[in-house]
Amino acid sequence: MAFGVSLAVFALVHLSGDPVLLMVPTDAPPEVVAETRRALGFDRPLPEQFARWIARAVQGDLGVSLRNHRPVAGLIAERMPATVELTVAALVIAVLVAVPAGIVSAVNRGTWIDSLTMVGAVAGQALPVFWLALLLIAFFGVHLRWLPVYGHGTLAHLVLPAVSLSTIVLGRLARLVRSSMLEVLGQDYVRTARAKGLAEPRVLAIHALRNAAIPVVTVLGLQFAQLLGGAVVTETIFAWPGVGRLVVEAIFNRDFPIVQGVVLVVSLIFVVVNLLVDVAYVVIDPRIRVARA
Amino acid sequence: MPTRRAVLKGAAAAATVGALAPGVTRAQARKPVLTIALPSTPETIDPHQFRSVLSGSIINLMGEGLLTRDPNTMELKPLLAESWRNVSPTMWEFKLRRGVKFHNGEEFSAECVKFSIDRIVKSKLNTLGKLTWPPAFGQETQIVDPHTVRFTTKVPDPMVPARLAAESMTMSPARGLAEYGERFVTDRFIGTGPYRFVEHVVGDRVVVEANAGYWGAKPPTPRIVWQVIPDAATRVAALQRGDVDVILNLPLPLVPAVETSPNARVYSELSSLVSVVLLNTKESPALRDRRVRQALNMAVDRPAIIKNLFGGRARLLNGAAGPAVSNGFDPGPYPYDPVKAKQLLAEAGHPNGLELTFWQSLGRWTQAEEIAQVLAGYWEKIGVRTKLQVLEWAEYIKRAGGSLFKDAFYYSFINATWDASYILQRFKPSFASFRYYDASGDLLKTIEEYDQAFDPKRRRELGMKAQQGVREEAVWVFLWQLDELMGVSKKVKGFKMRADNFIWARDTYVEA
Repeated sequence: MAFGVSLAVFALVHLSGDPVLLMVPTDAPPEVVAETRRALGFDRPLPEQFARWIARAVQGDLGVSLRNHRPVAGLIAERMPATVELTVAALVIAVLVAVPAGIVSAVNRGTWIDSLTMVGAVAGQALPVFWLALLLIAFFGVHLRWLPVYGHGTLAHLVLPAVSLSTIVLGRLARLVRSSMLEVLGQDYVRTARAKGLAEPRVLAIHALRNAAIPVVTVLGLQFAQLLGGAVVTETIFAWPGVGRLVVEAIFNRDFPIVQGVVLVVSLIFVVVNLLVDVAYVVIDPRIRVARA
Repeated sequence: MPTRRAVLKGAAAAATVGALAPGVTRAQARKPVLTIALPSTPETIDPHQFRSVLSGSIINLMGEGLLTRDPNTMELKPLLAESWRNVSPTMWEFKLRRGVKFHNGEEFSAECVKFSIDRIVKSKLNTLGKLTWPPAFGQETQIVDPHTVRFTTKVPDPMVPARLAAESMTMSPARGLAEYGERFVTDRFIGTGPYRFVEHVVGDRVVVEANAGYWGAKPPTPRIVWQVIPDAATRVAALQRGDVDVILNLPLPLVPAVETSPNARVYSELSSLVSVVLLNTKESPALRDRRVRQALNMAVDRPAIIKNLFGGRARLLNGAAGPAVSNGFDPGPYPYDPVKAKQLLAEAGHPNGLELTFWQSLGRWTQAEEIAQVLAGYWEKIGVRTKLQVLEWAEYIKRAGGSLFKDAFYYSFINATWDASYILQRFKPSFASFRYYDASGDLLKTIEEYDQAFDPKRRRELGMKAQQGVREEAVWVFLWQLDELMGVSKKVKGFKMRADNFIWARDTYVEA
């Protein structure tokens, strides 16, 4: 998959325009332009360029930035921890809010509590991240002065970006937990558990939630990609030094090696995350392992 | 609730004071760090390969050229050169300052001047300096003695001192950077400047600290952080909170937010960028006729645009170079006269108007989209049916510089040598890029003579004549120079944008 994505991105970025003309002075004579193009290997046929790039990439060499001449692998390594920190924090917030909200909603199905929670979930899903981010900045940053509005470092710096980003998945997750719980709550084994005289919290946490978790975990894995995408916007607004901003600037500057490198690394991460999701199935529901065996 | 907020505020204030206390004397309490927020970092910290005036402003805290310009008057002033003289039309001699050391301890000498100028002009690197002092001059650097150099050119060049004052002409150590003659410098900056390099986190920040061994006046702030905050609203929020001291690129719609902030103010300075519409007189048949170009100028009510679109924060541009630069002058506006414009079109053979494709890049210039729509609206009124096309910057600059745009497009030009000749050279048929209008006959002769004239009075005469000619030819649709808007904390002192858009941060400090 990572190979396919790399190929697609390679083709797209090379179709999108010529990086050489952005690198030379605007008044550069044609010889200088041609010389620069030759020096960078951009005069070679595209398949040859791709073959060279992929051959180096598998050895961990992602090339050198066209703009600032730093190794791309180093630039990504410098930025990746911040993006992972942000997306994981957003995911944790989303889970911590969405799961209880979904359960409460399911348990109180049809009541005003249910309606209120679901209206909130839909609103959260509909709210553009950049707009929410600006509201959070204005209120918690400027008005109350509680939280810093840009940069990276302390836990306080993480709050606003992570909360903004979490809304991308929060609403959908809450609705999924609710419908999944509703389905499970109607099952015979839940009735049995209740009939055994188990306390309701125990019924919900052990018997219902665990069975409702499979679709939720699946969607979480898929949503991770959306979080990485949303991180581009969030990182820009909060000046968060992650790969999202790195790649956006690189796209505008036609800094191909950075774009290709980031896409490769991010698609690898996505593959790994979804592998972990598969592993999680087994932990949550041992029947899956039995079925496969 | 109010009590909790008050407590938090108090706590925050106490923390700030605590953090600042060490090392700051009571008499002149200053913040140890000046933080300037900007939309993006320099592309590079290589002393010669940055692209923008802003990058030059950051780099020239650490590096210095032979000459500089006064931040208030733009007069040429000695920096690493003590004096200079014109030996002959093709030779200049510079006496160098003695006892100046680079940050790596290396002595500044004639050898370093030769190394730097060769790296800028003769290497294969894509230096900005090749625009400031084109290699076509055939310049050579001779070391006369360790503290004297001579520059010779194949063509008479009266502009040598002005060129050497540009921020792209930074002096680098010959030994310290010996291996980098033809290679990018990415991890260090060795200059002679009042600040030394600490770190460059690509796309995030550049940090510099005061150079204790600086040869000149000590800088007033121990540390300067150039912090990238890409989003303008976030930059303003950071300024309002006092997290940053200066914000660059303040968009017009956010001006009220800064104006109403109790601890910040708007800093506004006329930009040196001349904003114009270039007209392809070579490939768009209708635009070959001067009357059509004049009609396009007369059709636009620029004062109304400046008032309504820019809130009055702009100045009319009537000539190509603007009045502020050396030998620049204002040849007077084309009047707003749509009736006359229509008449001119009819005389030129377009009684029923004509079609015009007009290009604009979005995201590069403030209110670019509005500008394009307004101009198209005015042209429609005289029968010029304008088709608007927008492009993203990378593709836009490729086509603009490559002389590929038909029929018209918007652009803003800088002036790297602070002389009208920098703009006027673009109309010489020998110029490499942006070829949309070729001067000929008397106008071309005037521009060429001006390029090589040494006598200041003669230069002024020729410069004015050339600008008058360019205006009469209506080579562009002359528009405006906008104000450069920034936000600064009320505690910031000594901050300045020089008239050529160079950010003068070396004398800036923040009161605690």
